[in-house]
Amino acid sequence: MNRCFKVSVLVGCLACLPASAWAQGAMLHGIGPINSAMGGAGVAMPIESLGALTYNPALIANVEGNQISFSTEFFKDGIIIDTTLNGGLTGRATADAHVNVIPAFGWMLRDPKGKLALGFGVIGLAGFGADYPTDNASILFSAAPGGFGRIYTDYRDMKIPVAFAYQVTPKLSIGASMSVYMGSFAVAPLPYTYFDVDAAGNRYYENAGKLDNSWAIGGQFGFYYQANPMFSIGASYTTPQNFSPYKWNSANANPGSPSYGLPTTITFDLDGPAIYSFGIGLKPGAKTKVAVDGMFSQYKGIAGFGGPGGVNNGAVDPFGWRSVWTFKAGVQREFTDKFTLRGGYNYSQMPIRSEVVLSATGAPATFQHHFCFGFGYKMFPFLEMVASAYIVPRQHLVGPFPNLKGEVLGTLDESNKLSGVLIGMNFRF
Amino acid sequence: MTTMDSAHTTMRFMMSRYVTRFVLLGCLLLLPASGWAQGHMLPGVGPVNAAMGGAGVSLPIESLGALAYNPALLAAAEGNQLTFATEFFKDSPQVTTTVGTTTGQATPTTQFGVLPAFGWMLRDPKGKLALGFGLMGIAAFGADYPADTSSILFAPVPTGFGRIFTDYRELKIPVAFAYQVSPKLAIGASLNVYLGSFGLTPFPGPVYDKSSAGKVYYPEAGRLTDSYGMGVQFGFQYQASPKMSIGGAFTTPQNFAPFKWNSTYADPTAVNYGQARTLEFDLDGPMILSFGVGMKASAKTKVAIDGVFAKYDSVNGLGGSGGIASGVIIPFGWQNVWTFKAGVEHQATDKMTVRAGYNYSQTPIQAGSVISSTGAPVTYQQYFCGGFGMKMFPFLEMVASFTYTPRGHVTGPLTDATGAVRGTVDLSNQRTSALLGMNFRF
Repeated sequence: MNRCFKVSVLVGCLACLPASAWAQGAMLHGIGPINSAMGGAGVAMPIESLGALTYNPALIANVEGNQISFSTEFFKDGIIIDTTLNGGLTGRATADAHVNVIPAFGWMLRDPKGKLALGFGVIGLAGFGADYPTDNASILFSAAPGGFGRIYTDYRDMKIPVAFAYQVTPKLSIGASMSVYMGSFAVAPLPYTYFDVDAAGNRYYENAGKLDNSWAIGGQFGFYYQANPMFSIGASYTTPQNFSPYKWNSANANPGSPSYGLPTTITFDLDGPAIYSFGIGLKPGAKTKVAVDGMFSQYKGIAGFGGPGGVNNGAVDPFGWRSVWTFKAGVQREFTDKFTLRGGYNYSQMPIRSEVVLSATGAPATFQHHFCFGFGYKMFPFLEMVASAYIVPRQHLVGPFPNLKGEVLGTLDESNKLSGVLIGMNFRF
Repeated sequence: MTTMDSAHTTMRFMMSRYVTRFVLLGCLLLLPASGWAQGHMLPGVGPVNAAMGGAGVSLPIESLGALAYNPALLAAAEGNQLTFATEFFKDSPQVTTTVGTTTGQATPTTQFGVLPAFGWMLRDPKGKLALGFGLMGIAAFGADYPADTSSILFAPVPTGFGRIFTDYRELKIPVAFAYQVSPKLAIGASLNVYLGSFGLTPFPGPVYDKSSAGKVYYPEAGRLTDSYGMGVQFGFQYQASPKMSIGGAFTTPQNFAPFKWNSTYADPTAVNYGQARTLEFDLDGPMILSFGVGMKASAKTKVAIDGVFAKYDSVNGLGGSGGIASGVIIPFGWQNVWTFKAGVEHQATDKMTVRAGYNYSQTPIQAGSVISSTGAPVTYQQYFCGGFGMKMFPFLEMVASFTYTPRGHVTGPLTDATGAVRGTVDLSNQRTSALLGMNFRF
C-alpha cells in the first residue's frame, strides 16, 4: 500500500465519526414509545406531549388538563465498513457496539375553559458513537500513520422546547415553540483538516476526545385543522439549528516532531437542518386512529452535515449529506378500555450520497426502512404504561474509494442496522 | 380539579394492587446526568433541598431530598408528589505551582454543566406503605487542561502530563419503600442502581510505558465509558414531638464494575506506539452515614440541621493511597469527610416560600497527595444557598435556588517521579449554580 493510498484511506474515512444511532438523517425516526410505535407519524394527530413537542406545537392545544410523558429509548446499531481495492484486496471494520440510552420528557397543559395551551420538554433527538480499537489487520484502523488507529466518537443532541398553542376556532389551532438545543460531541482522533505531517508526508490527526457542549436556539411553528370529526390536517416548520462551533483543546499529534504534544485548538461546526412536516389524521372508527405524514429535512448547505463531501484540495470534507424526504404512517387501535396497540412504518431517503460515501464513513446513517410496533396499558385512570420496539434492517451504500488526488482505488461499502426498545409512562390529570 | 380528585381517589383504591408492576416498570426509565460536587457528591439535590444547604434528613419536604438522603421520609407523602429539576452550574479550577521563586498557574477550560433530576413519591393517605422512584445526578467531577509549555504539570509529555482532561458523571436510580410503623416512627429503604460514566486522557495510573531514556508516557482513556453499580439505603424518621423530629440514613458503598477502555501504547519512541491495549480502572463510591434533626419553629417555619459522614478511605479508586509510588502517580488518595448542613424554610405568604442554607464540608483531598487530585479538584468547603418557591396552582409550585461556593484551596508538595519535593502545588476551585424546578402534588 503506497503512502498516497494510505493517506487516502485515512482521510477518506473522514472524520471517522463512525457509528450511528441516527434513524433518518440526523434524527430518531420517532420520539417516545407512542410516537415511535407509529413510525414517527402524527403531525396531524394529537396523542401525547412528546410527539407534539417534537413535530407540531399546535397539537398541544388538544390537551385538557395536564399530560406528562417520560420515556427512555435503548438502542443498538451494527456498523460494518467493507473496502475492496481494485486489485481485489478486501478489508472489513466492525465497530464495538454498545447499548445506548436516549431519554425524553414532555409536559403539556391547558385549562379546558381557556384557549391557550403550554408545553415543555427535554427530548433526546439524536445520538451516535463508535469505539474502534486499533487493528493492524484493518485497512482503516491499523496504527497511525498506516491507518487511523484507535478511534472513538460520541455525539448527543437534546432539544428543550417551550411551546405555546392557541385554539383560534373550534377547528383550528396554531402553535409555536422556542427550543434550546444542546449538542455534545467528541471524536478522537478527528481526521479532518487538523493534522500534522512528518518528513515522509504521513499525516497524524489530532484528538478531540473530550465531550464538548454546544448550544443552539431554534423556532418551530405549526397548525392543526380538524376538518371534520374523522379527518384532520397539520403541518409545521422547524428552523435550522445554528450551533456554535464545537471547540476542543488538543495537541500536536506527530510523535516524531519537536512540536509533539504542544497545544493546539480544534473547532468543528455541526449544525442541524430545517425541517418541514405535514400530514393527515384519520379516525375511521371510534377506537382507531391513523396518521400519515411527509417530512423534508434540508441537510444540503448545513454546516457540517451539508458540506460538499468528497475529496477537495487534498482533504476529505465530512458528511456531504443531501436533503431527504421521509414518509411515515402509523395506526393506533384501542382494543379494550385499558389496552391499546400501535403499529407503524417509516421510510426515509438516505442522506449519504454514494459518490461521496467516503465522507460519511464516520456517520453511516444508511437506515431506510423502520418497522415499528408498541402498546399501552392503562394501569390507573391517570396513568398509561407504554412500550414499543422497532427494527431497521441492514442497508448498504456502495461508492467509490478515492485517494486524495480523486483517483478511484476501489469501492467502499458502508452498512448499518438498528434496533431499539422504548418504555415510558404517560400521565393525564 | 375534578379530574385530579377523581384520579387521586382511584389511585388510593388501586395502588396496592399495582404497586409491584408500577415500580418495576418505573425503574427502567433513565435520564442522563452530569455535574460537580462536594467531595464528589452534590451538596444538595433539587432546588428545594439545595436551597437548604442539602439539609433535611429528618425533615420531609419533597421527593428529591427524600430519595437522595433518607427513604423513610417518603412516608410523609400524601398522594403523589413529583419533582422535576435542572441545575446549571459552572466551576473554575486553578492549579498554581511554585518551584523556588518561579510560579506558574494553569486554568482549565470550563463549560456550563447541566444536571437534571426527577423524583416521585406516593402514598395512599389511608395506608402505611409509601413508594418512591427517582433519577438524579448525584456526583461528578471534571477538568479540561490544555498543554502549556510554561507549566510544570501540563508541559508536553514527557516533561509534564501535556493536555489532560477528566470527565466523571454519576446517576442514582432509587426504587424506595417506606413504612409508617407508628404515628411517630417511619422506616424506609431503597434499592439503588448507579450509572457511572468516566473518561480521562492521559490516564496517570499504574499502567504506563517507559522509553529507553526512562521517560514515562501514560495511555489515553478518554472515551466516556459506562459502568453500573448497586447499592442500598436504609433510614428512619422519628417525630418526637410536633415541633421536633430526628432522622438518620445509611447508604452502602457503591461497587461499580471496573471501567474499561480501548487504548494504545503511548511511548512515541517505541515500535509498538499506537498498538492496541485495553485499560481498566475500578472507581467505586463511598459509604455514607447521615443524621439530623428537624424543627418546626412555628406554623410557617421549618429548620433542618444535618451531619453527614462519607467514608472515602479504602474505596477503590477514590480511596487509594494517592501521591507518587514507584515513580508513578496514584490517582485520588481521598480521605473521609464530615459535612455539616443547615437550612431554613419560611412560608412568607400562601403562595411564596423562601429558603436559605449553609453547608460546610471537609475536602477529601489530602494536602500530602494534592497532585493526585489535579483531575478532580474538589476543593469546595463552604456553600451559601438561597431559594424560593411560588405556588402557581394548588397542585404546582415553581421552585428556584442558587448556590455559591467561594474558592477553596488545598496546598501540598510538588514532587517529582522519585518522590523528591521540588516545590508546592496549590489546587483551588469555586462553583456557582442555579437550579430550577417544578414541584407537583396531586
